[in-house]
Amino acid sequence: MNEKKKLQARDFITIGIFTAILWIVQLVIMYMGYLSPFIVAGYAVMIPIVTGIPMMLYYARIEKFGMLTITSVIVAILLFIFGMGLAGTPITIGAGIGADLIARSGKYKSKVKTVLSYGFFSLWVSASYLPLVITADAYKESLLEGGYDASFIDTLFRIVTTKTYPIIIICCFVSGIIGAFIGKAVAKKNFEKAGIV
Amino acid sequence: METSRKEKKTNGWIHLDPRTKLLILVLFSVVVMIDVVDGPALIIRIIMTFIPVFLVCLEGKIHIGARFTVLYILGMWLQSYTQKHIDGVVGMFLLFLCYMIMQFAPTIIMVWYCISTTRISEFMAAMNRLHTPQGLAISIAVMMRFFPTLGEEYRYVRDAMRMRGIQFGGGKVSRMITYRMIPLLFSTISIGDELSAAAVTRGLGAPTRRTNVCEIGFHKKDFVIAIVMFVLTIFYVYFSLQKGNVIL
Repeated sequence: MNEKKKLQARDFITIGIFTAILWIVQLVIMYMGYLSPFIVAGYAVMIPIVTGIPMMLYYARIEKFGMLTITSVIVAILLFIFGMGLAGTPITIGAGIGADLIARSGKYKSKVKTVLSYGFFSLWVSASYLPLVITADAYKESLLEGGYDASFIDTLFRIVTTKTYPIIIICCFVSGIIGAFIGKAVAKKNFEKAGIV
Repeated sequence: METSRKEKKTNGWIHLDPRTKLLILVLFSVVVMIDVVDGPALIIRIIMTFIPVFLVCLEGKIHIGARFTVLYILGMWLQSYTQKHIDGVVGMFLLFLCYMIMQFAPTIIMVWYCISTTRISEFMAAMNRLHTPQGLAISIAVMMRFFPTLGEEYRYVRDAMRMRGIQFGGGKVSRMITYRMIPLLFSTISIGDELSAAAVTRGLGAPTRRTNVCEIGFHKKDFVIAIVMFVLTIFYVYFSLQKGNVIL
């Protein structure tokens, strides 16, 4: 029994692959962000929904405790390397551990628990807003000096502030749940036919 | 093994330890966190950006250094041109593009450098020396190897889409996403299965401690480069603090 519960090389490879996909998808969405401040604020909705598709496939392959935790640790490291600082690290890793615990309570099979767990996991997206909230003034100034439109910056900092931060967190959770449902539907439509899930 | 060692020697003049590269990556994440527009800090930032360019050329990958330099100069020129001459939506878009390139240039070149010059087994040896948990090391190694593969697979998907004439997925956002994502996921899953089969035949799942033929070590050149980068980072932080930027 103990042997089965330990993570094997196979599992680590699965973790690596799905974390890579998760990161690339979110990077593509991030790149669209500076087109409009509404897209920046929309990260909390867009990233959980779009990454829901690969993540649901990932959840179908999870059977043991620790995989989501390791994913969140790697995401935290990547966020640090890409200049988001260390402020978001506890949120990211906490979201991963929490998601792992929720999914484990459903033995990684229960549908309701999977959806809830993905909603919780999506909270990591809120971590990428932290530098925006904490260093608001310095960030604003550097954007202005970088030649950004003043109205763009104003809108951005009116949407994302310390006061709206809890709303962003709730947005992450809710869109995580929506993303989970969409991901499940897509997986059912495309992957179950092929016998992959 | 003998041939691979010879290859390594003729491949470049300087071959850094993977740990040195990781250290530079961490230092760069501090640099990227702080925005700088002018003054001495900007000069330090440019110097720091071009050290890895230099290193990647010294490892015999001159084409990467050349491509990055062209990208950097183009970004810089376009930024100043856009600020003066173009405004409106197009201007915003171009500015965003340049801002991203200029802001993340150090990380871009460093990640490029790490992935193109570090072999996976070298990376694993370095992680072993750093006493990283093996699971985390394997996951990160797989991920590093997987980024280029993902790009390649994406190109195949795009080619297939072009052949059928559905580049834009009929203009619907949901289709644009699913048409790209689903084939990509299908191929990644089969690649993953192949990878794990290959890893198991190499004894990755074995309960014993793995040995490694890669010779890694901290030499003089590693020390020199690490110290230079460290000092430059300190100066960078010092100058930008004088300007009153906040750091986390």
